[in-house]
Amino acid sequence: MRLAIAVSIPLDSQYDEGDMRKPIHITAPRPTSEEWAKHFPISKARQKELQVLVDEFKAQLSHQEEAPANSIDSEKRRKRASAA
Amino acid sequence: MPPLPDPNGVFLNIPYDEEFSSLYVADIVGLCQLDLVPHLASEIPGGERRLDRIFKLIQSCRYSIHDLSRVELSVAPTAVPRFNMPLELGMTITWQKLYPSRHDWFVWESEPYRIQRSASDLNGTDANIQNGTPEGVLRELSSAFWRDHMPSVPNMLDDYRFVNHNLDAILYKNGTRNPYERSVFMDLCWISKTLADLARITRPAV
Repeated sequence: MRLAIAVSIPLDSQYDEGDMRKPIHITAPRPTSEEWAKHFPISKARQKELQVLVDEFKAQLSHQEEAPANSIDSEKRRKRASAA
Repeated sequence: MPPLPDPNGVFLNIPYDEEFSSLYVADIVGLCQLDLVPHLASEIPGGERRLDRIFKLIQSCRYSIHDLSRVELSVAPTAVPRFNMPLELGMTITWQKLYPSRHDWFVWESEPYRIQRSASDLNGTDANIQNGTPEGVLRELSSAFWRDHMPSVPNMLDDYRFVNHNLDAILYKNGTRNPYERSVFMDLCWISKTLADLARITRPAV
């Protein structure tokens, strides 16, 4: 047996209007690399320059690996850096 | 009849001003993290009338975000209201009313109930309140869209901080101080997408 209960809550700052709207479930296939490249055509030379920044980000992730060994976050970061 | 919209395309109707740039970067990073494709009016090459180009871009996107948080009087010498965002929202609403299955739009604001004062005809529309912060933008993106294996807000925030920290370097390389220029927008999208791909490898599903 299912029991339905109507809940009346205060619509104050913690329960503002934004919380009342259901998110849109996106079921469309994720864009492919080719589609991305079509949307944002960037030269190979420019990509190389930007890749330097991405490499810096990877280096930062590796550096954060030195955080306490039992930290869940550090484990996630370590995996992410090594996967990269 | 225009072709079907890109099911991952999101048109960003935002103010192009300096104070908004961190929220603009958060919009781009967050959308890329959700595997959605951000679009901006400035990305379309010139030629046609600007309004026609914007309308085509709206039609080509499945979703749009209209940030009305900076609909206010511009600074002196001649203070005038900023009408571009409401104008583009009006065009979008008309398009969506004509073809409901082709488009969904969101209104974003920085404060609750401000929209009732600035555009009372939108009463009954649930605005997403981004609180004027990048974290708020990322939180509202996560509230507005749901996708399998989407990242957590703290994950998105990590990437946002990195991209925003490098904004000056990207501007410098493009020889501009304007973050909304087409070349800068392209670079921001490319780097955000690359970071999103990197994160996806180990990110736990939400």
